[in-house]
Amino acid sequence: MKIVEFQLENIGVHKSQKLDLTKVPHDLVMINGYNNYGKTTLLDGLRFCLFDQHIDPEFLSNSSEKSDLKAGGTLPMMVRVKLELEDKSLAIVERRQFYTKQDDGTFVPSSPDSVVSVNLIPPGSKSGDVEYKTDKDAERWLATQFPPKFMNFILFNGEEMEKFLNPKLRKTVEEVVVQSARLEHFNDVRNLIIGYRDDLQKQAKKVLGKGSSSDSQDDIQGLQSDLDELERLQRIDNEKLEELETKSDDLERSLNSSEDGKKLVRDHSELVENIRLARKRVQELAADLREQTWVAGVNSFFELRLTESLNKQVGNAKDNGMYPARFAKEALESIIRDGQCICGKHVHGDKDAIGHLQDQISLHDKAGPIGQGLQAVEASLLRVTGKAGEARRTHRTMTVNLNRKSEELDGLENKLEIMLRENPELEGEASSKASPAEDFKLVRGEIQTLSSSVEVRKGEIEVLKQRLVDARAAQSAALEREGTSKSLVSSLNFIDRVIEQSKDFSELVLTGVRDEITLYINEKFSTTVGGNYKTIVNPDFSVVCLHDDGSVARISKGQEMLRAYFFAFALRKVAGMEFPLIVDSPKGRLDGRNSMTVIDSIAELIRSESESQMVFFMIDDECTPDVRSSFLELGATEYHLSFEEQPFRRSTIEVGMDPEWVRHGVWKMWAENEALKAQVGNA
Amino acid sequence: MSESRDLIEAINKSDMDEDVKAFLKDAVTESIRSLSQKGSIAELVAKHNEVEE
Repeated sequence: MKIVEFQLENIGVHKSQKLDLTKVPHDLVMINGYNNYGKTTLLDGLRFCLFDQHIDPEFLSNSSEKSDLKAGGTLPMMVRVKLELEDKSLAIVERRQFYTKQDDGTFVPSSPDSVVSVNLIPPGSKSGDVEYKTDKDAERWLATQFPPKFMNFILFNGEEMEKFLNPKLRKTVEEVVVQSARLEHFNDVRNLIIGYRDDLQKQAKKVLGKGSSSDSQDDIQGLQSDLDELERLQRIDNEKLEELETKSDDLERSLNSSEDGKKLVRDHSELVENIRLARKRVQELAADLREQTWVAGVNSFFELRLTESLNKQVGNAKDNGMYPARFAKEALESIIRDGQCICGKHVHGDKDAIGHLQDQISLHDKAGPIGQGLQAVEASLLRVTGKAGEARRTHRTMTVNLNRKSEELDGLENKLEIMLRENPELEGEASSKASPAEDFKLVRGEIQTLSSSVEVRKGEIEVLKQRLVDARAAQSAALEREGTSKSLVSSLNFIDRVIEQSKDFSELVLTGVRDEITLYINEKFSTTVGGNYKTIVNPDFSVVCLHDDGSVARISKGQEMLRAYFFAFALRKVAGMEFPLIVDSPKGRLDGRNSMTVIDSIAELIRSESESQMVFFMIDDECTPDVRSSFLELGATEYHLSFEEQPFRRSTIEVGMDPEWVRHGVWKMWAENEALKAQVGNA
Repeated sequence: MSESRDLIEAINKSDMDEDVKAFLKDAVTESIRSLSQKGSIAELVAKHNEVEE
């Protein structure tokens, strides 16, 4: 990149200035001029245009009257720098007007106070096309091409070179190195990666916090086990149901197979029932008969004893001619005691007889005459005899009934025996005490119960199956999450590795840059200055010269300035800067031998570092005949500033050496010597 | 002024793992604006980090 045109308007003494470097043969330019001719103003114009460096409105005035300083700010200033950048040309134009003068003579600030435009000019075109249409775009482009931090490494001021490595500038140096190595970009990228790592960590935490697939697997296994058990039970019940259905079908078929069969079953059932009833009746009759046997026996006993007693009493009465009631009473009481003794509580049917006897006893208590007593005894006997006869008749009747019922039972049992002999299949039915119809009913009941159970279990199985489906879906989701988390973990590991391995990268790059600068300075020092010095660039970019034994070397002011030049050149080199190098007062305040050493060394640098365009601004004291000669030998193109006070202070750039110089100081001597040489030559 | 190629050279010269270098070279080639877009770094990670399935 080089400057091919430089134009200023209304900046200090430069009313309308234009420097055309298009036809300069080498990229080495000298612009010389006395102090206050506007050299530094040219540099300020460049700083203002390329780096938006602040410019004092008072400085803009070309008036010598202090009272009219603001008037300078009312002038529309402009700086235009035309550059060649690779195969393109472009012009940077910056305009500014600080104040506007009102009718009443007052000044008000103008807004906007700055306008920047950048025109991209295709090769061969004079007008050029406007590439950057807005001020913002132009300023952004300019900041990219001319980073403000690089200003001190593009526009040097020799007078300040001795301060070049002060702490403030060292900080700038580090910033320039960081920026030139694009470490800011690298660090921005790395910070984005760190931010991404944080996001990943949050995602991983979120995903890993949920249930795992192994948990879901446990659920599935548990549910599957329950389901298997239910299905096993269901299978068993279904098989049982099938059996029952088969049995039910058989029974139903059996029941419905034929009318005879049904009738036979009915007859058999009826016969069994009749036999049961007959047996029961026979048992009842037998029991009644046994009872009646007692009754008949007791009545016969009373009949016998009363007969004996009566006959004995009748005999006694006949013998004694009397029948005392007392005897009759005692005889009856004796019969009762004997009867009760014989019959006990089991006497049935004799209670009436005993009651009658007791009535007779009370009658005898009242009776007196024998006739009445005998009549009473005879009446009792008659009654007892009647009762005994009746009991015997009843007994006979019952015996007959029992026999008849027994015969009937025998008949029924014979009939059953015959039926079973003829229909042996009825044997089981008979022995099971249940009919096929009842069996059918039982089977149907069992089927119904089992079906209900199967139906309930079917519902449970459906529920379990659904839960199993849900659990499998949960497992799939968990597996998917685990797949995601696996990917996340892998990404996290990778990102962690990137962050870890790149953490020292910037420092390593800076160390590399420092090493390169150190190498460059040491090489230049040894070739231009000599001496056993070793230059060290510290981590904070401070620079020291050391002897071989490690002690700090004291170097001259000129060497210090050279070291600053070497450092700046080294920095430009390692940073890959392709900007023009513009130096104001290259030897600064150095004098005599030191200044020549510096200029010689700079000339040496120019010879070795010819890639960049170089522009040197020098005053008459600085640009001595020797210096000028050295530069001209290197192919420099020479300009000088011409100045006039009237009608107003104004400076113009002209080609060649200022003819005024030869009238003063060393230049006068030089001119005289040159004239003398010429005369000798002519002679 | 130095471009990304210098940064890439510096990354190449470093002793980082090759996959880390490749990832960083791709990352620094992108602009910050582009890299800030959602999913941009994730895509680069997916490209350079082969997940074992």
